[in-house]
Amino acid sequence: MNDTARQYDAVIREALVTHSDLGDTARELDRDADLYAIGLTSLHSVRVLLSVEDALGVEIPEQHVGRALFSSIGHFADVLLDIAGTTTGAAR
Amino acid sequence: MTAPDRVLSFAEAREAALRARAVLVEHAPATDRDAAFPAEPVAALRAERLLSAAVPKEYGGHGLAPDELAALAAVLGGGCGSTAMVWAMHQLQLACLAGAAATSPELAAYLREASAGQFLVASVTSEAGVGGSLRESRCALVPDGGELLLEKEATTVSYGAYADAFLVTARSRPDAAPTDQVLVLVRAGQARLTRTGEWDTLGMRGTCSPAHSLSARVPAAQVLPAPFGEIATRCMVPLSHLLWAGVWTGIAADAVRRAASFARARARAQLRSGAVVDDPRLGRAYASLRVLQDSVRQFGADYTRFTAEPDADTTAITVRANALKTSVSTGCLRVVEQALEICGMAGYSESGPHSVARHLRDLHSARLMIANSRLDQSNSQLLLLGGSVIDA
Repeated sequence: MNDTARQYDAVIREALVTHSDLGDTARELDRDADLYAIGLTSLHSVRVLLSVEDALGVEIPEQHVGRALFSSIGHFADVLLDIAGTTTGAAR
Repeated sequence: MTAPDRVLSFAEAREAALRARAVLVEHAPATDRDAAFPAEPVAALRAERLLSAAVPKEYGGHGLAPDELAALAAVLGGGCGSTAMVWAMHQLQLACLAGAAATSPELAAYLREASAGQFLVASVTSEAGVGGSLRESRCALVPDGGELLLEKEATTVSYGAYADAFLVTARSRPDAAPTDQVLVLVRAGQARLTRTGEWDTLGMRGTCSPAHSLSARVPAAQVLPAPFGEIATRCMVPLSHLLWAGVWTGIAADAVRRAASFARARARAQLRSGAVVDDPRLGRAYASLRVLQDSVRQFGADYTRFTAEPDADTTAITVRANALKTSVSTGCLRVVEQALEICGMAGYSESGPHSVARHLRDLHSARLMIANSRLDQSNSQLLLLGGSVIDA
């Protein structure tokens, strides 16, 4: 995991701690753990999404937003990496 | 872009419409601002071969059903109301021609030509002096040496200056009653079209629909064989209301999308400051929109079934088409007003990602395109025939 991936991972976990019922356990979760299976609700997932967008200063395009985005912390982070790659990748 | 002769399935046509929509979106502000015909957007629709959507496959079109056409109209309406309305009105002309093609080799040949050339066909049904009634004409077809002469003063001809042909209503002969009408195909090359009015309107500015006078000489074979009353009842009235309603829900859906995007940005800021996100307005706007979208879909499905049944009750479909038109035309405007309240000044602005100003202006035309009061009046009379329509 590079620095960016680590940053995304941390931002998602903090958003889960603050905006879902998972609380502090979100910090220790396995990267691939199914967030819905352990109690993430769709209403909370919206707040997590908005909080992550706010923290990173990005807007996740509509086509990436959906239930699948929250399947795991790892998947969410990968999508964020993808988006960062397509929006700023050309300049790097 | 697809190969010239390939028939598009509905799914493929929808993908094509989504690609073309990007062009509609790009040109929508200038089309609206300058009240300019959307030449590039129509060229994009032509390049995707979407101008022959309503033409039956046997005449080289894609043979899409009414409910499918309405769905495409909504897709396009989400990009530019004017362009979508031009497309919808054009499909309506093709559908009227398609109904006549089975008994008219001349019109069948024209449809093949129109599909191959992706022609744009306009309507000349309005006329000065008939009080806005579709079912009355003053002008008449005048026999002249085996051909027919026609002079008409039309009060609105949408995209007339850009059309390859027109479908024109007229009395069937000089001594015919005002309601004894026929529909006649007039190619642009057979007509002299003179603009006699201005088109500087509140909305739907890109449809370019000023008054025109039309003078034409056509072969008799270009008259559609069925009386216009029958074409109007079975095709023109219900299908126009369906396709227009499709366009209007597409416009309203885009306004709700803009409101959702605005609400998302605001919710982000609220979360940051620890505030609770508890605004019910987006949910309400969506609920209003959803009911309208479902009404259009349901009527589309029912009308599509109706077209397959030659003996079906036309009164029921007329009453329902009228009701769809009046309710969706006003309902979509209310949806955009709800979106405006969510977006606030960003919505009121004529530009920017959260503007719904054009949407509002365009949708004000909806109640006037065949005035709602006229349709409500018709329905109030037709419903006196009995209550079976009410329960159906």
